Amino acid sequence: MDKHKEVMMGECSFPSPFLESLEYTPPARGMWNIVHIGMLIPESHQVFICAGGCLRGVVLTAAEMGAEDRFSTVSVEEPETIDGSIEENLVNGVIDVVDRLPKKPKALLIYSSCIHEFLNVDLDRCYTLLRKKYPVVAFTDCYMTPIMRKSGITPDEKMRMQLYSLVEKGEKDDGVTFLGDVLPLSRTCGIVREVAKSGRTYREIPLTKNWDEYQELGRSSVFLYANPAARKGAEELAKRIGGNLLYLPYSFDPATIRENGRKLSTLLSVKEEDEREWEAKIADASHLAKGFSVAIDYTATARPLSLARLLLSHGFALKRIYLDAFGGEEKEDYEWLKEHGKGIEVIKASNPSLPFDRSREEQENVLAIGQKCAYYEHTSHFVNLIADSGHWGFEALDNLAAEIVSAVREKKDTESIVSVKGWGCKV
Amino acid sequence: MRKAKRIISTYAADTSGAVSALYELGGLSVIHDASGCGSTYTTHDEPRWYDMPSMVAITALTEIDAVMGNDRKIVGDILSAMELHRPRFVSITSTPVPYIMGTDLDAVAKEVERQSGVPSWYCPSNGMHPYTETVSSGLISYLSRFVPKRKRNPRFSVNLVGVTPLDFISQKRVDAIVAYLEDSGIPVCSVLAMGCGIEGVARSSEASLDLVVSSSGLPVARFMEAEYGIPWIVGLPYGKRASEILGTALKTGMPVPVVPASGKKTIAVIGEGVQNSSILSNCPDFAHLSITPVGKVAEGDIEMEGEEEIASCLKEVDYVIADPLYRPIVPETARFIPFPHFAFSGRLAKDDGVEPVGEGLDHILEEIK
Repeated sequence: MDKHKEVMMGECSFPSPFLESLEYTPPARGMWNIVHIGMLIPESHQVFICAGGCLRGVVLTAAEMGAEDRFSTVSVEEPETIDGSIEENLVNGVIDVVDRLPKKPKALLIYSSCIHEFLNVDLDRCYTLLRKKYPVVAFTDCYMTPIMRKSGITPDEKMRMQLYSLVEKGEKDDGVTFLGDVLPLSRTCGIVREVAKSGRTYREIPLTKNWDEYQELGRSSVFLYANPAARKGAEELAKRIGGNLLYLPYSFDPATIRENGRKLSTLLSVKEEDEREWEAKIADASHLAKGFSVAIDYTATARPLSLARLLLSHGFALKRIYLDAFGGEEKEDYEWLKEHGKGIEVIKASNPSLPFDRSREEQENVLAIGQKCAYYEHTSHFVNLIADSGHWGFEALDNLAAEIVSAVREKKDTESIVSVKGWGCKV
Repeated sequence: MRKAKRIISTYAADTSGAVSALYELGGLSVIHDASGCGSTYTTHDEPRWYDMPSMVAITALTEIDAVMGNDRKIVGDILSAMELHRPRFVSITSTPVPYIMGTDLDAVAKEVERQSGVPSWYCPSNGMHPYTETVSSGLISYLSRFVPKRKRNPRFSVNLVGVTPLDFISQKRVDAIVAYLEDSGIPVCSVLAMGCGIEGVARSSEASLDLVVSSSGLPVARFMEAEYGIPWIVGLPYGKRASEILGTALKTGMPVPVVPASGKKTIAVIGEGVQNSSILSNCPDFAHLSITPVGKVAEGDIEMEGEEEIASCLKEVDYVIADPLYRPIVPETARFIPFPHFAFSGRLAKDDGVEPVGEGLDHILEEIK
């Protein structure tokens, strides 16, 4: 096997199973990008400052979601890169945009880019000037700096941090704020039900409709998060405005889910929820999926190896896992799969040869969990799970079982679904 | 300030132009970029993914490699990728950080060619110029390496030069142009470069005449004139009147004449220059305003991209034909007629069943006629 492209589970290494190579991005676009995430701050306006080639993707992200009126750009061109005017380009460009907006936004998200990092732009000076010019607008620094993705905090982690950077310390109550995810948690998942049982107010950013509700996020005394990419932002917020912080990771492992439940019920001082009938539902789904080979990819969940372990241990014919690297928290599941799933093919999701490996004909007996593998495997039997899609705990297992049953029984229009950028993102 | 856009979109950049132009020709297109340009291309600049795979990749540049100049890794990664699918050529485009770091991608291309024996080139680019520039340079690089001068075919035929989805949205529209010309007794030799395959492009040096159908095609036609001795004219059969004028020009080999325009009302078109000229040729009873944000073609074209500048030009006009994403800056006093341009609005640009070829444009213009 070519280690630029694929490796057997029994032979791969942790956390980087592949050799470096050129990379490819398939037209499966359900994952949210930094534009979608920033749109979660109500009554905010975004300004991206970068070269036209970089602007193109983000401009059309906003246009496709009908949010052009919350989005502006300032282009960086060659003269600014050599004549020392790049800071003026940023400051004057933002001023030009703000002065032409029909109404001043509550918040401005300013996205600088790789070129500002490499030209050592004094962003502090830029923000000082802008805050002085518009004292009633809250500014936050955001970043479109993909070149820094292996230089410490990733752009995705940074964006999830800046999402809460404008939340001010308010008068505290006993509420609970769930942090770091973009889709609202399912109303039937353990976190939401336990908080309701405790009589506390439940808050999360996808539910906020205006600036005041956004600020209410800071009133809570308990902060929860489940996505590892939200860790830095959650820690920063809890430290800045005060509150108990608890990490309840997404997982498909029943033991971890039980442990999460115990931690949560202890913190909220409520009786632990009864375990759901998930096992029978997963078993039914597995029985129904006999005859289907299964593929999953890393865009479906923060814990793809945990998902793989659940599937393999419940009789699914798991053949392929698409990802680029293993997450740091997945070591235990990796070790288990290395022993029990030696024959699973681990495919580099960004390998440029994948479009050619994709069958021209639609595959009838492949079940895909995740958009990228649905595209690569060319199947209409797929579970449209994106970054856990707001499903947590045993409810996530219930949901998975139901979605698998649905995907086996009914085909989806894969092309039209995976083409949509930022699935579920609404203005 | 010219560089700030409050609400309108931006055009596809030079990072995508060459990739689009060479998509169907069996090569490996590499964008020297960290991330983003690859997904922008596959998502917004390329509608052919589901029908036809192509080798398009980014180098996944990191901060440390950009700073330390690890150019050997680019060469090595390209050579590894070539082993998998044996491309006919390698074409490289670049992005802002390699530009400011002064990465010598011309040398990288030469090294790839030296080690692999596969024709390789760099199309100068940095993500700060429009797609049109590398559509041209990509096609010229390809022609210069793969299409030798051939004896002119005694049977009259034309090439369509400068054809990509960025300007023509779909193969259906290109097919409509080809069908219209052939139905009018004008055989099409080759389409550079959509829908006619490697063999079709190889025949292009046999043609009698190049028909330049986009501003990207102009430098290519000049190259073909110098290398193959093929004369060229500019035009598109959009609308009945423009089609008639073009038909005469093709049969005589004379340039498409400028249609005299005068009238109390003004019609403005914002878009690609050849399409603008062709559309306006159908409107002789109006004063004309042709705004070309990505490359001037005709004498009277106004080359501007700034949102405020364009909005200012539109203040007094009566009709505006442009991509729907221009609508927010069109004054309410003007009637807006949408004419989608893929290079501006990407996947939002739909054919909508309205085909501008031949009399099709007349249906679009019906309300102002």
